[in-house]
Amino acid sequence: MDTENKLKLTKKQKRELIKLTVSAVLLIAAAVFFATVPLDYSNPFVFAARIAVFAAIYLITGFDIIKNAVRGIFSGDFLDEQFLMTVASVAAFFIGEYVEGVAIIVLYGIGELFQNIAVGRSRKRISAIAALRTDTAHVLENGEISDRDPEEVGVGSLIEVRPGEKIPLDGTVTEGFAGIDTSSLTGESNPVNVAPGDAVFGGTISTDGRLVIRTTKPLAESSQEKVIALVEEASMKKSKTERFITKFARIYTPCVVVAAILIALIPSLITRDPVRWIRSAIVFLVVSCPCALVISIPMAFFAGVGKASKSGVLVKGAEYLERLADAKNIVMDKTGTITSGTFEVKSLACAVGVSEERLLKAACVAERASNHPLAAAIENYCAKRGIAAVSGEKIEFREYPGKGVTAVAGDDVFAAGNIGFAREIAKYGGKYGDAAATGTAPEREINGFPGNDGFPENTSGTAVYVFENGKYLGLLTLGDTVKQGSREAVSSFKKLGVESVVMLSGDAESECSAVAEEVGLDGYKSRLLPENKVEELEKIISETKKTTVYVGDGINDAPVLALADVGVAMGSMGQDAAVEAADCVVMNDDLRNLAEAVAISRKTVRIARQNVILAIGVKMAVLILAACGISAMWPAVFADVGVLVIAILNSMRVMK
Amino acid sequence: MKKYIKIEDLCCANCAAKIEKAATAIEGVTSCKISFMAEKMLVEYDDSADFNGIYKEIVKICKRVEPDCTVSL
Repeated sequence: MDTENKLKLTKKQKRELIKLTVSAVLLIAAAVFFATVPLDYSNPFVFAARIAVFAAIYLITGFDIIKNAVRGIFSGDFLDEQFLMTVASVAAFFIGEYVEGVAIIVLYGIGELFQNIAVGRSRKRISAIAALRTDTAHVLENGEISDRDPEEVGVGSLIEVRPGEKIPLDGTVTEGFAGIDTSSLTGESNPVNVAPGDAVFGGTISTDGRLVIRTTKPLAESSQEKVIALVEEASMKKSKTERFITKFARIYTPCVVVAAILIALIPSLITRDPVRWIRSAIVFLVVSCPCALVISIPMAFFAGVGKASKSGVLVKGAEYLERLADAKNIVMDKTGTITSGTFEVKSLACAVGVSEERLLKAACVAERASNHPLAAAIENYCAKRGIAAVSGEKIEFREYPGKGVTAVAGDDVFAAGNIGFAREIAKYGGKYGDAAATGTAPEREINGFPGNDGFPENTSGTAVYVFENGKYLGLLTLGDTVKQGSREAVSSFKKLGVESVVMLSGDAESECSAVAEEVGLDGYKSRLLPENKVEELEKIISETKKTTVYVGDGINDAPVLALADVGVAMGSMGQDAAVEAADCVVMNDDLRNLAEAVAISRKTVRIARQNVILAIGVKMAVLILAACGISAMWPAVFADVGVLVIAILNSMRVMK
Repeated sequence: MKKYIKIEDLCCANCAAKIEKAATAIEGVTSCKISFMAEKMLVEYDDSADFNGIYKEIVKICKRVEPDCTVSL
């Protein structure tokens, strides 16, 4: 264990620890000593000494508890645990069980202290997210550097970030290059390279370069503060389990206390054996506090939210974490979620007698001047295969929006475009542009195509048909690039128990089916308008009646995100609108992080449920035994303190 | 309006629930949520309400339920 992780106790905790140790040691000593002295009521000195010694030990730890209990009575809610423990221990004294009486209070104190330390530690560990903050910003003013609190740095200030330092505020790079470690915000481990003009986010680290940044946001609105605020607020949106526990605690304590009173009175009157039944009543009081539950459940959820944020997923409420754990349907948008939104050439199909090289060369010449994303993809592909457009010649380009492009180089006319464009080329031939413009060209025979107007219908992706002087050379099929990890994420979802993973997209059927197959989806719907997406999602929800998660980019998808049980926005670092609209935000755009978050949510919920069952189960068992008159004090104390310790330790497992 | 209030050294979640309940009853407060783990309270109140008054009430409640805790803005 390194020094930072060492248990640092506050003064108050240290004081408690000393008091408890002293009481415990004295209690054991006294118990051993008095066990050797025969209980002789005829000797008033021994009798009184016995009471005095145990009472003194009792007061070492018990004094504060009694004080608080008395205060509790005056403040109007006397059913607090300190009151109950006081009554239980005093009652134990009353029936002559001195050792037990002191033990109840000492063990209760130990439990409280442990709980205190555990909560403090997990707060610290979880607020590792608070380590996103940095205390100083080096502000550049009139050529001079002054260090200031980031809170005092205005928007538009220039600040310097030195290698290895944390960026204090969101901003734009004006000077310098660096690899930025964004893992604290996004969970992404590869550094992102930034250059002047790029946006950088507060809380990320410049690993190797000096940067000058012009701030774009005040501290309160910077990325790291938002992340911290969201994680903290998340624990205010209570999960179903937490709400159940709160309700349970409200009913449980009064019921057990009433039962304790009844047990102390009624059977005693009947059996004339009050000591036995008062013991049972004490057991009731000892286990009447639902502490283990009340504390371990929010702790588990808080840890779960914190852990998810470490993996780059912000879950905006414990309730969403709980629903995520229960996810049965995952519905995703295509572009930006499963695919990266950039195109690449997937396949080539040459016409009879045409080489791939000739096809690509023609495509390259035709597309060279175009800014269309498809053109860029074609150019990249050609460059990769070592094919370059012939340069040197004067080339005349023309674009036909929504159709394609033509390029005239010397006597040759190259053309590339979609199926509609191809049909028109087939009609008008090489001099397509002029002919289409004047509408004068005579209809001609389609030459070189497989059959009359028989263009091969591409089956997957977007097709670009290529021509040289009106002769069909072949087609290039392009597709959106599936993001690295999408397939892996889908299979992780499945392994985690998600029943169906489907895609809703506005894109063409062929494009969608290719993506669906590549990542292994259970189904997809293509050509959907935004309002259709809402309908489709409604249908899925009403048909399956199971927890449905929608994953989208968070900006165009706001209505769908709101409709789903959990709306997840992807790749939203720095996009406030998306963060606002979603219940859950994946900071970078890696779906695998979402799968990780689902895994974390399942673990959290599992641990929370274990704690509920353990705590309620053990307490009920003890209550039933006590009600039957089998009242053992030690199991009761274990049921209270031991279960608390186990439940807290169990909750802390979420962080692992 | 929304405001965050820091409540440190709250030792039990039960106390947090009590404070929450009592603070929600303050006139002008529409909702009050405490994150026991984050040691923070989020109060929402009517625009017309006087925050200083509300804050004083909240401090009083906290001191009553848990004398050891420190409240700050």
